[in-house]
Amino acid sequence: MAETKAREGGAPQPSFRDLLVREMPSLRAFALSLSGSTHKADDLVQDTLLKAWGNSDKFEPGTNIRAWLFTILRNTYFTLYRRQGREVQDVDGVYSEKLSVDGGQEGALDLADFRAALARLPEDQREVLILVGASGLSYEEAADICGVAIGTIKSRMNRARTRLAQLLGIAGASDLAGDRQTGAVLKQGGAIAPKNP
Amino acid sequence: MKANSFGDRNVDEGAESFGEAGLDPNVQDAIGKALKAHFQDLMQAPLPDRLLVLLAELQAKENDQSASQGN
Repeated sequence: MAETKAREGGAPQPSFRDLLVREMPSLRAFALSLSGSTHKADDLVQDTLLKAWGNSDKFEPGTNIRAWLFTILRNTYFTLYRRQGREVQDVDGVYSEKLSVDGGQEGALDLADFRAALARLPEDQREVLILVGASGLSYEEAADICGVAIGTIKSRMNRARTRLAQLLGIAGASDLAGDRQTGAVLKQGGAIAPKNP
Repeated sequence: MKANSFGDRNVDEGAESFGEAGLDPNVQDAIGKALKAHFQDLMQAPLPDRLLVLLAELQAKENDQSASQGN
């Protein structure tokens, strides 16, 4: 079971539990991103905590505990939860008040638009954006977590970003003339949500 | 069907024609910022009590074990 290294003398180190507590918000954020459901996310985090606690001897101190926990959570999701299908998203209540972020030359990026676009990406693309782009894991860690090659992660990342940019109408300088207009229409009409019939 | 269609299926076709080099660094930067803001937002959501209770229970178990081992 969990060893508390601090008891062995020397500088006090955070206990295994402290590490878990510290990672709970990121674990839950990842669970919310994967499942799209607050209820499932909480179940997932609970399962993950129990598994992590029971397997704490398998965690190598000095390695990234976030990557280790994300691996457990992801495996749990794919073995137990995913077959139930992705529920209608009920995570809206989790978000804080409407926010926008500085989009540089593109002006302010509306976060609600951004989330709508993110929700439309294929699961593997959304996942890699969350792992690498949002939670700050390395390509290598993301590759380990997903059980694929680093090159696969990189290409998913590129495809995901390109597609997001298209959905948001900010696809880039080469297409500004055409896309500016499309983007403006998209933003005004909220055209991200409705799908083509 | 191609350029201006934002329907679910057609975006993929478009994505390939863009290629990774086609994405403006400013756009990449904007997406990166939005991703971080989005995730930060999720992280700030209050944790449900049952998860905090669970951790407390696990800690209590650990303390019991340590105590019985004479630590």
